[in-house]
Amino acid sequence: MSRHFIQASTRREMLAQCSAGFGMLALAGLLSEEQAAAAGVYKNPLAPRPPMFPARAKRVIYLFMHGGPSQVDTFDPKPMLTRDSGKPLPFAKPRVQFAQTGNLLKSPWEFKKYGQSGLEVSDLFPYVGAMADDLCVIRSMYGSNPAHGGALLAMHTGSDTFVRPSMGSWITYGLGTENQNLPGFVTICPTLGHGGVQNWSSAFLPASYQGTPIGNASIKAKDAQINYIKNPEVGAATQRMQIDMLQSMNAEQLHHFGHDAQLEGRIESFELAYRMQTEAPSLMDISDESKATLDLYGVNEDHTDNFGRQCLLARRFSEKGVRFVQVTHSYKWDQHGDLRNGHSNNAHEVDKPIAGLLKDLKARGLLKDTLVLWGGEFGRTPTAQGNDGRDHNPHGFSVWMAGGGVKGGTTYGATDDYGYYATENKMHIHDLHATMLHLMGIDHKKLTYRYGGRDYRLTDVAGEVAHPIIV
Amino acid sequence: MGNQTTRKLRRGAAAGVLGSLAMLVLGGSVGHAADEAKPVTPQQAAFFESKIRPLLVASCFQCHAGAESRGGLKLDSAEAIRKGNAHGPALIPGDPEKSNILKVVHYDGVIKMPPAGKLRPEEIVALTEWIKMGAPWPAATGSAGPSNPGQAPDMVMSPAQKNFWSFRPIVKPALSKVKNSAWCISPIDRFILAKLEDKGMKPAPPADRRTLIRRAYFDLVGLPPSPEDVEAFVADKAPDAWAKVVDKLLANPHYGERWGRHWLDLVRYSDSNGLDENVAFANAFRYRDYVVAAYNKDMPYDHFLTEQLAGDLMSGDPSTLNERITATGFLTLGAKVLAEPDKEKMVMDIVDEQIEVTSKAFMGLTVACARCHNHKFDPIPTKDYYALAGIFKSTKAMATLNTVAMWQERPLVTQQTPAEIADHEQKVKAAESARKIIKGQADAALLAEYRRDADRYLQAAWELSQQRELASVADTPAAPGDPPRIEIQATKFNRGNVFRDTDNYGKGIGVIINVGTPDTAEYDVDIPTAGDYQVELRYASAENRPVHLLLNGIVIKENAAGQKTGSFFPEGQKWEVEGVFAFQHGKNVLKIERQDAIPHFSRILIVPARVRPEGVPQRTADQIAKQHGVNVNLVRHSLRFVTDVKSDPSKLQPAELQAAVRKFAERATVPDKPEGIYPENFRSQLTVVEKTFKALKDQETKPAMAMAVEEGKVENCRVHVRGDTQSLGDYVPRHFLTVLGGDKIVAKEGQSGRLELANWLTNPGNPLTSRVEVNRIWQGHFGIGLVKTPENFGLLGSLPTHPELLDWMAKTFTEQGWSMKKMHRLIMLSNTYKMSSVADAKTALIGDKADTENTLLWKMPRRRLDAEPFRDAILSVAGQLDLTMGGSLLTTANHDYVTNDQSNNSTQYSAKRRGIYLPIIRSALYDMFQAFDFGDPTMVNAHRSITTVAPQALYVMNSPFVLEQAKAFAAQLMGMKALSEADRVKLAYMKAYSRPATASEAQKCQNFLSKYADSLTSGEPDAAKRRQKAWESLTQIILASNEFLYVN
Repeated sequence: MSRHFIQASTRREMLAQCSAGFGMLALAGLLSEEQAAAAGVYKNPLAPRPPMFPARAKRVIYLFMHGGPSQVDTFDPKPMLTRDSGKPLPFAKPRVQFAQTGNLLKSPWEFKKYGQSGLEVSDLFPYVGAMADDLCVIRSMYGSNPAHGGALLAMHTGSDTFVRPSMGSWITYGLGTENQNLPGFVTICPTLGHGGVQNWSSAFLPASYQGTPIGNASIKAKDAQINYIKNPEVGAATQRMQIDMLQSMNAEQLHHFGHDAQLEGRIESFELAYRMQTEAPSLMDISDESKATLDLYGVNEDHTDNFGRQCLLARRFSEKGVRFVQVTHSYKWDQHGDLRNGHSNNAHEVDKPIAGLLKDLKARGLLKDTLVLWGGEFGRTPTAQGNDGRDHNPHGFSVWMAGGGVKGGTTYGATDDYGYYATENKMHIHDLHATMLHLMGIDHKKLTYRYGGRDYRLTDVAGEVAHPIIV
Repeated sequence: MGNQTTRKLRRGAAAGVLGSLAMLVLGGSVGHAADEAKPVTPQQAAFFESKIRPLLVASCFQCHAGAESRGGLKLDSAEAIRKGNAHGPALIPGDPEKSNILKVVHYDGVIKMPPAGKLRPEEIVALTEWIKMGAPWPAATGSAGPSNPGQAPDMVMSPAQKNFWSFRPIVKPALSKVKNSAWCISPIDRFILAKLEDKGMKPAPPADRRTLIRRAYFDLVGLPPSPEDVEAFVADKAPDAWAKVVDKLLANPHYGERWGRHWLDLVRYSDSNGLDENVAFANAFRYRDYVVAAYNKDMPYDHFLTEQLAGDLMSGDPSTLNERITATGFLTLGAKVLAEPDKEKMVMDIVDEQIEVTSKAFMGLTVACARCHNHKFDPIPTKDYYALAGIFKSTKAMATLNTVAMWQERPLVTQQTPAEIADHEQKVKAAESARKIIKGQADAALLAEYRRDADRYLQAAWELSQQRELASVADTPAAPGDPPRIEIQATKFNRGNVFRDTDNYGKGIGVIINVGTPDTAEYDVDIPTAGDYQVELRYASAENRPVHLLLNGIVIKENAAGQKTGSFFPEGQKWEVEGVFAFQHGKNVLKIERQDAIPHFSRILIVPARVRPEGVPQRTADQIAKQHGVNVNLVRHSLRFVTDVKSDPSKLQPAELQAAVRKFAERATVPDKPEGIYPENFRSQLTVVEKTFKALKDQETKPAMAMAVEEGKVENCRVHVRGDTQSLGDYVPRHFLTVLGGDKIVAKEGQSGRLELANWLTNPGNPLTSRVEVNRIWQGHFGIGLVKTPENFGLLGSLPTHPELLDWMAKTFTEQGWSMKKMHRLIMLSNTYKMSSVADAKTALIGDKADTENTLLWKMPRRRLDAEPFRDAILSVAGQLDLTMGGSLLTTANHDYVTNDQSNNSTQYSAKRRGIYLPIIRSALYDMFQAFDFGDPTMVNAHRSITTVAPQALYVMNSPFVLEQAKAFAAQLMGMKALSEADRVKLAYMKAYSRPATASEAQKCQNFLSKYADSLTSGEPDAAKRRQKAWESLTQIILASNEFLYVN
């Protein structure tokens, strides 16, 4: 770094001051940045922090299926539903529903047993099915909000009523991130509706923990970029000259005033930004991937190119130490009607890329400590809307996890005979969050942040870790 | 808090299942008398509270507690559980084997409880254990949680709680004694200095004048001083030079923008709803402008507060009515789940948000914590929460709860002067005449095109006339002798569930719109003669919404009305031919059906089908028009001119054809409503004029609306046990906080109680209101308040660092008539405020160890600019800032979506207005604000956090905004031809830092300019351009530097 500065003596002094600050990082612990600054320490809020106990997973990849994939058509086979299709649901529907539904509607897809585990997966997901022995399907998920907006917020932040930090923010707040040249929490092509930014916002946590969006749902993955990551006018060398001048002026001012954690932190932030500017774009350029890898993800194939690229980027970010990566398959899974075509097309777009991601992570030895979560904001009713559709159903739905210390080739929990309500080993969204934090080596009851006179948690006052799913 | 409401819904879901199982009751043996209650040991109580009560609450109380007793069974008290129902006790203390409750939770009999899912094994073990120990049921303990659902929980306040510092009356303290009384020019200084002297510390030396004036400008108006302002102050030797600066700034209208913005943070001001349905609050800006004006006119704080809570109920000059109504927007600005399907929850969530903002902003208390249980730390019982909830529930904040719900708005009285009226009329005339001119030109252009291509139109129209059954006949007048048509208003359906809309999408025409899904509408059609009929639908839709069309129960078309017509509004209405179908004699039922939202249908046309001549291939009007390269709408219009053409024009002899074309061209006219087919350039011009015209007309017919509340149905609210809308307890009279005697004042009969609440808050005897506000004013000047948690003066908040100073100021504040400007003046004229941010050297040695946070104020805290002053300062220094005040920059119409699931919001931030006027879009905040810690505008934000992260640096390095301003700054400097390069650098420093560059700095900058310019030589042959780029780089550095961003 030394060549970057004009006035060497001042620079050395500045760096000496800064590094003294960094040396005190451990002491700073989980002080808020302002507290740390006030205590005279510049603390990098994203510096990696050890987990509370040994972690099974170091990072998360969340494959979010926006719209609500149907559990009874994907990972939760229901023979009784097939048998009684066309008959009324033999028990009451929920008090609060999104819309009226009719009688039971059997799944148009067959389920097959896959792998040594014999895990059942519908014909919608042949590629993912082939990875069955790595999947832990949770069939007893439930929440409460039957509208997309509320359900997305609940799944991402734990609350559908209040503005709360997203789980990616909590995890980054708890653990920091491993690569200081990249954001700690990225979300690739997220949806801007149904809560939008709130779903990757840090809310009352410091802004350093908010998700960094890469593009959004209306942008093709191949065109997505981090905001302002590149100067539109000058090249790297010229910009470096400019930053050197800036840092030299900043250093002179610091020298004049003496030690000041805020000013030092800002000086460091320019260096970090410059490094990020170099690293992020090259990370997003997938031209160095082999054809075999591209094929694995379905990149350059008609239906799978876009989601394949998203999944591939997820692997690239994870590999480089980004703590939490979300990939969104935007608002496509909402089949109130046209279920056969809609779910077929959607599954076609994601099946191969997801399986590719799992295989690739496995081949690189990353799957064992990367927690992959797949799921929507809710499931769908086993009862019909029209003759080829299903309504929203937050009362019982499936998600699956892979890698990161979960038991592959297993299912956990169950819904009733028709797949409407979760019944056995019920797993509330808070329980899912608690379990994820546990896998990351965090006690969800102890990861707190004081705001407005109260200590807040991702799991509010609830959440039970589902120990049986952990290896 | 959040979880409680979530859990409530969970249980709500279970209730549905239970509904069908209501006939199932606990069976079993009859007639066990309840045992004698034994005293409960602390261990048993702990066991019950940790294991049993949560289990009962989560799994049983939904149906078996309070008002609910499904199967005649209640489980919410020791007595009830022992009593059981008609079939016997639910449990026998000490005898798990005979306890019915255990039989049903084991799930091995016919009756399985709880029905929504078997209890966890450990829960069953706990329940068994508990019955074994005699089912001990302790009386209510602690302050958390009702012992007896259905009853408002009582709370015993300890003397310590009641006597907590912030609840104690404010007594004006004596001024502190100090040694160095010469330093104290203000009472404030005495309080500060006394604490410093106690620790052997000294205040920092006074800041120099340049630092001081820069500090004052950013503090009071949020803008940098001009070099002239700085020099004038530096040169002013008068003893009151500083007071003059402060007074001048307090009188500056931009003061209201800076301090109004602090207030807007607190009251979660936004221009959109956020959360699930992010629709535009297009009238929110009136509240924002009200706040700015209130600050500028130094509205007394007690009045300001009262207007916001109850402006509509205050008596006052009618000329201030608009202002008072607008102020109540305070209560409506919250983010709401507008598509919440559970309306009872929605109402209480909105009330909760109002309590949250009211209590944090005005009382510095977290009253909303008491929604589900008595406050865990502060003396706020749940009863107080529901006493306040009653006040807000009796206030109408929502116009409708139906999805998508709409908040309440109220019309403002127009108060126009004759000059304004004349000006308006003038504008209307101008718009009318502009419209006329454009239409004239467009008609002429259209007609010219028509005549120029008359041969092609003739041919196309003739071909279309041969296709009559596929061409729309809706706009073609029926020829004499044509069979009768049946035309139906879509809103007059005989059966169906859709909404009729005649105001918005259906303005002037009437349309049907979706109700939620699935949508249906059925029409009974009486057909005189059985046969083939052509069906046409007129509708508007901005997206593809194909519907099923059914005739007499049979789907006759699967994707009818599936086109995008350009808009959902009346201007998007288009006819579409759906086809020819066989109708029976007499009653036929035509049905429109869609699982999702339908297009906006306005009319249905059913006409007897004509017979297509044999051999003519079936084509649509679009296909024909495309083939001939003509406008399809003009072709349709031309149908009326080809009635006398008897054979295919293309088969005519040249002379005949020429005659036919000529005749056709002569007859050609512009259609009645030609706007949609004007050439593009005219259409866009017309759109602009129409928009202006409409806006002007709207001003006449539609009064300006403000987001505001009014009195609703006045009623007390019941306690919601654990915040659950399905578990209601006692009614609570509407009153205020018990700990401050607020339970003695009950709202007046027939009124919500908002006005009494405001009066109670602004009573000078209320110990919270003035303390909380002066603390915020202090925070605005020093970065941190005397109480570091401005929104929480409760137990978990911070204690005041200078309690006497806080009380002295609070008392002074009320004595001075709650004037905020007087408080600024008081603070700024103190020596405390004028300290340097560099401490006295010896004091720093002590302070860096003993008071690292500088809470004793031994130096002025160095502060980073907030997002808006940073942006405004960049624009100001670059000479680009537009200082226009007020109004709205939001481009989205009221209630329209600012974002949707796929695309970015359309709101633009390119305006060079001050940051306070940029739209605040929840969930999609302006990225510059987002990066620089603006905070989340959904929440009460009493103190912005300050983070330093790489994305901020990226923004400064690479964003078009900063690059553009750096260029403007450079151009401005380079435009001063008379200046030397060194002088330019000095001027740049003066503008950005309020000080000239030192000689060495000027030299260093010049060296940089040369070096940078030289490095560009290979790519840029023009030396002048290289120099310019070097300057642009330097100005960007100046804007990016720490010296620019931080205020000393």
